Order: sequence, then structure tokens, then C-alpha cells
Amino acid sequence: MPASAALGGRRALRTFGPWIAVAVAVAAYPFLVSPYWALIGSFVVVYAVVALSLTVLTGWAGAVSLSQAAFVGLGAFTAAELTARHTNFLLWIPVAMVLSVPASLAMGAVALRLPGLYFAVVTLAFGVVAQYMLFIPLENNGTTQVARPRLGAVDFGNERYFFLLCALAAALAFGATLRIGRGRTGRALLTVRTSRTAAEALAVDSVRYRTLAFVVSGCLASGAGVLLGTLIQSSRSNQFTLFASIQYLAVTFIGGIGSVLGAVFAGALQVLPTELIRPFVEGRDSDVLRQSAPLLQATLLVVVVVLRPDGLLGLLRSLGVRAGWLQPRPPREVAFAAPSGRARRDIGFTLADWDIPAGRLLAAVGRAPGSDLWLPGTSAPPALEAAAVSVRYGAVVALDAVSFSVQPGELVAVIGPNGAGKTTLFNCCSGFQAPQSGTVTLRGADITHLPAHRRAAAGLGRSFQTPRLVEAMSVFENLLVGFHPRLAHGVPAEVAGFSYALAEEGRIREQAAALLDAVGLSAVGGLAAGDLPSGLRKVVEVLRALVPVPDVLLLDEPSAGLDPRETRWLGRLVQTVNRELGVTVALIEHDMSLVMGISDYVYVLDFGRLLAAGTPAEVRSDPTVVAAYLGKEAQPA
Amino acid sequence: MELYTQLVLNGITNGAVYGLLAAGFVLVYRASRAINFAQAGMGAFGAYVLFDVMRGSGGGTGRYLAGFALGVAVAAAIGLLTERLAIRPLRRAPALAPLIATVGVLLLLQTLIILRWGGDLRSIPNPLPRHPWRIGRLVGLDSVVVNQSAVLILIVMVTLVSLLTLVVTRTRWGLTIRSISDNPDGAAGLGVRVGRVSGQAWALGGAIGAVGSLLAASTTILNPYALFVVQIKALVVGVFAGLEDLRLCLIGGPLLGVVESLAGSRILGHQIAGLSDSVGFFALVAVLLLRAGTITETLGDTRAS
Repeated sequence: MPASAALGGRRALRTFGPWIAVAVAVAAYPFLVSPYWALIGSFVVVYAVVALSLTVLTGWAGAVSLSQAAFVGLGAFTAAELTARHTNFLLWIPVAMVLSVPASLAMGAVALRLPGLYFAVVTLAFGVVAQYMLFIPLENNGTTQVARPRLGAVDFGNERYFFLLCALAAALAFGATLRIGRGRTGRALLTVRTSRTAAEALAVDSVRYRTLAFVVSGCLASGAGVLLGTLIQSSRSNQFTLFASIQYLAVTFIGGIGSVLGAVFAGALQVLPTELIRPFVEGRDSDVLRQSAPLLQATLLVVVVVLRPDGLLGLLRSLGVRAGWLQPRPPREVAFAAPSGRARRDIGFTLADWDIPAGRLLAAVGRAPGSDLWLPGTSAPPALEAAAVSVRYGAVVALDAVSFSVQPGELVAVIGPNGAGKTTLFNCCSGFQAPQSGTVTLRGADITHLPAHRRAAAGLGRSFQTPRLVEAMSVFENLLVGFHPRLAHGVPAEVAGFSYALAEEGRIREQAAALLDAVGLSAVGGLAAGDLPSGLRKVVEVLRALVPVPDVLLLDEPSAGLDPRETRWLGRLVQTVNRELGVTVALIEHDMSLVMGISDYVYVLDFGRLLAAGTPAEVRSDPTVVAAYLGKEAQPA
Repeated sequence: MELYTQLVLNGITNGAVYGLLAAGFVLVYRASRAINFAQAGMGAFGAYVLFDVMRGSGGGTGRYLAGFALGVAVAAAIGLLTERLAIRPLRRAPALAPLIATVGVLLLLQTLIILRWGGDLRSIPNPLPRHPWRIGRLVGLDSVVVNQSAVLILIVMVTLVSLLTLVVTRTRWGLTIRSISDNPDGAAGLGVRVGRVSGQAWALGGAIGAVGSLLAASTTILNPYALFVVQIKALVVGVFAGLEDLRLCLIGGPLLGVVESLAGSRILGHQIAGLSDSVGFFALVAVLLLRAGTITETLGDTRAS
């Protein structure tokens, strides 16, 4: 159809048009300016890639590194070494990237074991060691010259051609990083940054993703280092000091750390202040010229950290929103904003009474895969079983040989006073607490020693007492994180944009939208999760746990902090999830009307021991339960 | 034997400065859970003020003491200002935000120093005793000597850090510092003026660090960067002290000095390039990884509830 072809063409133009325009402008730039400004352009582009490496590491993985210059230096000295060996230029960047991987892995391993502040101190150590034990000895050996390459007939000694080379490399780096950031990997990284616990509960392997961020960041920085060395045709140890690292961090922060576009600003901020001031102080005071850029950067850094953690990009975006040119959107990448710093505005939305027709949720989400394997009356193994599980903290016994099992399709409640060990029991089941003795099985398979994310991937979902949403992401995107274990494509497919990866991504977006629509929450889908009132947060967290349709869902006090109407809504949701979707549910609850109204079976814990178990009616009339739970005076005489 | 005795003595005296700066880190960390990366910048600023006072003079004692006091006071004032403008607003921000802010302050101070005083090497005329002290004679090791000014620095360090320890453990002010470091919200609830006490700690931390910086700058050289390297090593000592225990700074500073001094010698058969300057960091990583179990407890996100 010509009409739809034209429509498709227009759509393609709208999608690709701006990119093509940018590409044409960048390609034309070196031929419109003097070779000197082509050189300056190369510096901007290369430093933008350096900033991009910090965007990934600090912005997305949340690790502050004060030794990024060491990775850049690694690249530059690799270029010098390979110049001396007359190696083909096309191999320089790959070699530098490969060399950076062991260092990234080592740093990643350290970072996993230490809190962020200590990790930052360790990166200082890393930078100093690289300086004294690698760069200075190399320099003393005379490995400092880097030759501009010549590929075929093109001589990259020409600043204009060299700019094109840098721009092409940077375009690849930015394209790949942009795709990583937008898709499955970016969501997983932001979740890990916000809460490792939440990530693990959503089947995200936090160790794997953080390590990945370190490796990607190291590759970007060392690749940029090769270009930087080639650009200035030398590598010197005094270029890659801690001060260089600090400066990289400063400009990345000012540009807007965590945002890919912010990294472009950072590249400009690194290079352009000096160039713009140069004409005014030329020939007078060289200190003023050399210090003007750091002075500006240092001042802006302090201002940005204190007043605008989303940087220059965030400032421009909010101006754009105010002027009506841009849609407001969650501050997805802001890594260093105080969570309570953002004013909780009135979102103008309250949960309506539950009026969702039967079958609506099923149509949106689908049935739990495990639910087809059992039928009423057959002898299937328990969906989840904890056998004689004990946990002690020193002399305190949190759980004393507690056994608990949930049959397939059941809705079980765990009740008991505060400190009875209910959450500890759930933590043992979902892998956040290793029991000293006892076993945990999921559908008959022993999962006692599996890490939390593998249990989640095996079909054990959970929510937390205090919701652990990724506050900087939208509600919609929080739900997308829930699909993590249901996606098959990995990082390479994501970067290359293979059609099956795009199709998968498209499918989960449709499903998440359908789920929001089914439960009547479409209106809040675009809001940042951090802007939600506490009741809705709990609801969204339960939905997020529900998204991959787990076989077993553990809910830790879902009604805590909810008003009565929200509690009723949530009760209906849990019931529907259990009955319609075939999800086996266990919940910790204090709201007795909710517990007695919806559960099939109730376990009562007290002081780490199982006090009673039975149907709601049995438990309600059990004298020991009444005594322990309601207090002796409530016992009928 | 004589060589190693000499190396150990050199190390102990060199390490005294690390101890002073480390005490500054610990104090600030306890009051505000932040590492003051700008400490070297504050010290360097004070040292340049001292340089200005002493420039062109013969290095008289009275003038030096006055200049020293002024330099330390300037550093303390910068510490107070930093806390007020860049740290206090970040009380609710993620733990790494104050770190970035102090990195910015460091960069700012460094730049201002270069703009005001230039990047050249300077030396501060001073009345500190310069003569070697033939301490080895006492035990029959004739060639072993100690620099008198180095001994003075060691005495200053031990005195100041011990005093600070007493202040933190014995006084009412120390009690408020400890209450803040245990639980800032709880302390605030009990009427502790958290902001004010943390500001005082930043000032005092800046001052302690400045004493070390000024002494180091007087006895060696002064340039805008040298103190930063000293500071990083002091940070190693501070972490060794768990950013908590001032008494460990007393031991850790000289200990690192000795380790560096020995690593720079031919004790391992031959000299290894850069080992003397790097050895502290290998020690740091080792210490941190050994302590990791106790440190991560404070992460907060390890428990699921």
C-alpha cells in the first residue's frame, strides 16, 4: 500500500533523520574548520568516550573510580608499545581492550567485596600502582612515541582524516553503549545499583552484571586511550595521574553522569574551556590559561554534586520540560541524588475498588508454567518446602528447626508477632539467608545452596516488606525488570540489534503495558517509582514480582503501609493471582481479616518456633495461638 | 645491620606525617561518614600561607610560629567552610556524593594555589633544627643518624594524636562525635546538634592534617601536588585504622613509613622500580580484603527485609 509505505517512510525519517543529520554534520566538520580545530574536535570526541566509560562504571554500576586515567594510560602505552613493534593499527584498540580485561576483572572482584567508599580508596591505590610500576618504568624504557597510522592511501597524519577516524570509533562506542543502556542489561545494572537484594530477587545475577560493567568501562577507557595516544603522538606517565582521573570524573559529573548524551557534554567540557579562553590570554600568563579549565570544572563539580546531581544535561532537560519542548520523564540515570531530596508531589491517582473482570489478568500475564504439571488429587511434591531450617545469630535463635511446606496451588499465610522469624524464614527460602541446618526444596528440587538469583530464575518470586523499587526508573520500566528471567537474548544480540532480541524486547513491552492496563494502573506507568505514595509502591512491587509468572510467590507483609481500601484491593489481587494464574503463594501478614479471608492454610511462628499450623478456622481456635498471639488476657476464661 | 637500623628509623620518622593526616581522615569520617579528599588541598593551602609569611625572612622562630598558626587556622577555616557548603547539604544523599564533593574541593584548592602561587617548587625558610643526631652511638652503631626535625615531627604527631584520642574518648565533645558516628539520627533526636559538631570535626580534622602538611612542607619541598601523594598514603593508614580507631593511626603511620623505607632498599635482593611508592597500596588492598567481612556489615543493603 503506498499510503502505509509513505507512513513507514515518514516514521523511518523521524527515527533516523536526526541521526543522519548528526552524522552528516560530524563528517563535514573537519572540512569546514582549520586543521587545528579538527584536532580540537578529535580531543572532544576521545574525551567523550573516556566520559562514557565513567558513565557506565559510575553512573550505571554505581562504582566511583578515581583511577580511570590508568585505563586510558594503558591504552596510550599500548599504542606506544605497538608503534615500536610496527603492529598494524587496526589491532591497537583490540589489543588494548584485551589487556584491560584482567585489570577490570580484578577491580570488579575487589568492588564486589567492599562498600563503595572503600572501593574508591582502592582505585586510588590501583592508579598509583599503575603509575609507579607500569607507566614510569615504560617511559624510562623509552616507550613513548606513538605514530599516526596510514591505512591504504589514507594518511591519518592529516588532522581532518584523523578526526573522522576518532568520530567513527566514538560513534561505535556510543551506539553500543546506548543499546546496552536502554535494554535488558541497562535495566539490570540500574537495579543492581539501587539494590543488590532486589536485583537478586528478580533473577538478575548481580555479580555478573557488575563485572560486565567493569569490563565494558575498562574497554571503553583503554580504547579511548589508544586514540588519545595516537592523537598526541606520545604517551607520558604524567598525563595519566590521579589528577587526570579526578578531572575525568569531574567533567563526567558536570555533563550528567549516567547519561550517554551527558558524556558528549563532558568531552566538550574537558577540552573547550581552555580553547575558548586561549585567545584572551594568549602570550600573557600561561598559568591562567592552564588553570582556567580546572577552575571552572572544580567549581562546577561542587555546584553540580550539591545542587544538580543530574548535571548539565539534567538542567537542560528540565528547562526543555518547562518550555514545553520535552516530555517529563523519570531521572533514570541519576545515580547520586538523595532519594528524599525529590519532592513527593501529589500524583493525583488513587487505587479504585477492585473491579477487574475475571480472566483479565490471565489474558495479560498468562498462567504459571509449573501449574500445568500438577492436578488436584495427584501426589505432586510440595511447591516449596523448608525442612527443619535453623538460623542462629550468635546466641540468638532466629529459627529453630522450622518446617514449612506449601502445596502446589495453595495460598498459605505465615503469621506471628514481630521478631518471630517470619522474614528470616522467607529469606532462607529465597536465598538471602543461609540456614545453619535444614534444606529448602522447590518443586522437589533441592535449592538450599543455590544463589538467590538462580532461585528466582527457577520460578521463586518474592516481594519485600519495604518495597525495593528502582526509584529512578518509571513504573513501567520497573515491570520490565521483572521480565529479566524470561528474556533469552544476551549482550551481543542487544548491541548488534538482532531482530529476535528486538522482538523479545517489543513483546515484553506490550505485556507490561497490558498488565498495567488490566489492573487499571496505566495512568502511573510513566511516573518515576520514587514519586509513588507508599501504598502504590507496594502494589507495584507485587506486580513486578508477578510479571515473570513465578511458580511460587513469597510476599512479605504486602499490606503493610496500605490503607484499608488498598489492602482489600491487594487481597483480591493476591487471590486472583493464586486462583487464575495458578501461582502458589505464601505471604507474611499482620492483617488478620486478610489472612483469614484468603488463605487456605496458616502457619504460626513465635520466637523462632512453629507454634501451630492448620486451616484458618483451626488456627483461630487454637488456644496456644490465641495465648501467644493475642496475649493471655484475650484468652476466654 | 646499621643500614637496616637506619632504614627503620627513617621509616618511623617519615611515617609520622602519615599518622597526623590519617588522624584527620578518621576524625572527619567519624563525624560525617565522609572521606575528606580535600584534606591535602587544605593543608597545602595552609602551607602556602606559611610560605607567604616566611618568604624573604631569615626563618625566625617567632615569625614561623605565627605563620604556622595562621596556616593551620586557614586550613581549619576551609574545613569548616567545606562542611557547611558541600557536605551538610548532602546528608541524605548516597554515601559517595560527599566523596565526589570533596574531590571537587580538592581540585578547586589545587587550582587556586597554582593561580596564586604558581606551580614551581618552593621552600619555606624555617627555624626547625637541621642537624643530624648521632643516635646510633648509644648502641655502638656509629653511622646511624636521625634528623632532629624528623624527631620533632614524630613527637608532635604522637602528642597530637594522643591528645585527640583523649578528647574523643574522654570529653563530652568526644562523646557527641561518637554518638554521631554510631547513629546520626538518634543523636539528633537526643538533642545533639549534628551539623555543628560535624562542622567542628571538619575544622579540627583540617587543622590536624594541616599540622602534618605544614611540617612536611617545611622539611621537604612545597609544590601544589607533593602533599597529595602524602595524603593518599595517609589514607592507606586511615583505612588501616578502619577510619575509626585513632590509636591505630599512631602505629599505622610509622609502620607504613618503615614498610616503604624497606621496600625501597635492596632488601628483596634487588631494587624493584616503584615498589617503595606502591607497597603501601598492596598492603591496603590486602588489609581491606581481610577486613571485608567486618566492613560490608555497614553496607545496609545486605539484609533483605
